Amino acid sequence: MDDGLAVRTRALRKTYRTPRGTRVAVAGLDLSVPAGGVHGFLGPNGSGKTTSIRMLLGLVRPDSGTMHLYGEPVPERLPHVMRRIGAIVESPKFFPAFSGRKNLSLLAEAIGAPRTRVGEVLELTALHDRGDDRFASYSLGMKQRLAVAATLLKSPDLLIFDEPTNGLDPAGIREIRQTMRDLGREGRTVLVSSHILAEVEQVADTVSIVGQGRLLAEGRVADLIGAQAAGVRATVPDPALAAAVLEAQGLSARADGAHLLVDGVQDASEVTRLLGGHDIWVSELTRTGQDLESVFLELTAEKGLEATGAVR
Amino acid sequence: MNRLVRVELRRMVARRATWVVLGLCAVLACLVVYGSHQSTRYLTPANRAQAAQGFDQSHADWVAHHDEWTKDCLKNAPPEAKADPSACAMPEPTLENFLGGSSLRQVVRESVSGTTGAVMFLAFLLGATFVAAEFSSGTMSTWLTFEPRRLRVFLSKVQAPVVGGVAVAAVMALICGVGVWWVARGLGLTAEASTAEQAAVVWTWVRLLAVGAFAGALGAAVGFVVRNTAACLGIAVAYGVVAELIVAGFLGPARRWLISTNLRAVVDHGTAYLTDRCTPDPQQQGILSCTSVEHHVSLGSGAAYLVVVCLAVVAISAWSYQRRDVG
Repeated sequence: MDDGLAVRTRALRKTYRTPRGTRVAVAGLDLSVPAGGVHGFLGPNGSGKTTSIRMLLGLVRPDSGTMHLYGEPVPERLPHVMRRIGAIVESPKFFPAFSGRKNLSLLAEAIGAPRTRVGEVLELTALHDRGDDRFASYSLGMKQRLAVAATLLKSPDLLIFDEPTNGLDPAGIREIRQTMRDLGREGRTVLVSSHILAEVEQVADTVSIVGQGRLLAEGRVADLIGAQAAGVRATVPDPALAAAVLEAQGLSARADGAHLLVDGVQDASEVTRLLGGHDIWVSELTRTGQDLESVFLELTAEKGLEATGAVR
Repeated sequence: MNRLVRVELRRMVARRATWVVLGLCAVLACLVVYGSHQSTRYLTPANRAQAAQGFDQSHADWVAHHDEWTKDCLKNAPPEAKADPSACAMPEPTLENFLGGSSLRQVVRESVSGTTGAVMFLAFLLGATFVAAEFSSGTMSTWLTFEPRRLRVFLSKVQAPVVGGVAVAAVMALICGVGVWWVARGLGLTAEASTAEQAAVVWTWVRLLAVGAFAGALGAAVGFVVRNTAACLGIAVAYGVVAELIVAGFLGPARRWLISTNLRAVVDHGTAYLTDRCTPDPQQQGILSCTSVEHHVSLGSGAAYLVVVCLAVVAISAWSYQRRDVG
């Protein structure tokens, strides 16, 4: 099956037994990640992102459903396709007492990559100076870079980053975002899972939004944001009166301090025309663009789901 | 597969824990040699001559009177004891009864019995920590994103501790072997030993290597199941207390199935253990009359038992690793 998708899951389900009963981590997830570019996998903490990634990588067994990586069914054909996949699941995990170089050389030997590749990927991730230091002495940013270096040992077509900016300082966040963008531009597929909306919005071309283990929406980021009704913010002498006027005309408006907020307006001039007709003059008018955060919140509200966990 | 084993061996060599365990092993081996030296100091030629004289006299007495002693014993023994020919057996005295470890083989046997437990524990620890550290650091999941075939990963990670266990035993065997040989040589025991006796001593140390391999595999297999070094050690200690001390103490015949009994059988080329056979005393009501019965365990049956135990634990561990999620 070659449907142009790097990742495809259908009705994927995973439950965990806990002392208090059964907890559904993934509840029939249908995920489609197109090959090439950066794909955001967005959802609050506990929405099943990491579990889904772990199932794709064969670390966790699904209860039911199907998964395909580049058309190959997994986990059955995982050994054949794994060479095309690089993954960092949650925090980077290496042998703490070994140097970065030693960790990479063990992994390189395991997959039969030439030893020179270790030096190359350390160079690519700007770790060549610290390659001989113990992994335990690395900063979180360096650990992330080493994890990226490890994934590049295989020259993968699909890179999976699970919450890659967790715990990083602003410089580290910028660095990892740039890395993801660069990899996407090289023609690789980057699947980045995150609960940070701004992060996904900045780097992703396409996005899948999940909540409580289910897919809520998917598509191009621009399309998802554009699909939601936009609004305007106006500065008027009496926002409460202006809101009443617009409400009477069938628009959704409300006073917000010294400003007037109007939702669901496609054409901003309609606001100035209606208010002018009642001798209320607008001194400032700005369009309030939708962002992924509002899209996410609206989607969770529509589906009757609570956006549990921290979504920033 | 070979590549994976090579990688695991490289990791084994690079681990600090490996060198700590080997260092501990070397220290223990030196202590065993020192203990052997201290316990055989009295085996001077003069003492041995005196002991030989005592033995000659005792043996002559036994040759002359043992039939008579046996008859006297049976005459005075209770009726049920008369049915048991071993109850009044008069064993022939040996020189060793008079002078303890007076042969090369005995000196070696005593030092080996002091090292087998240490090799077993250290090789088990090496295997357990080798695998458990991967789970606790989370590197197992990283590893599986490079080699997802779990059975291959499992086998490679069990094979490396087998080699590590052999290395532990080799360090012990080398230091103890050379040290004890040196001690025995100082006492003139090596010159007295026949070629067959010397070969038997060498084979004893070789069998200790098999104990190292067994313990390394067992440690790694348990590490795969419990995924934590402390928990592995807890299981080892619990087994030692519950099985080796409590069960064996109360259930004598169960000793046949203890790991320690079978290890001794392998290392010592056969072993024996005693159980009590008790019957009510007809002359004193409510009193049990007990006699000790010796049971032998051969090298072959001990080795077969350990191989079965090892394969069973490894198979359960492999099954568990295949089925369980890796965090």
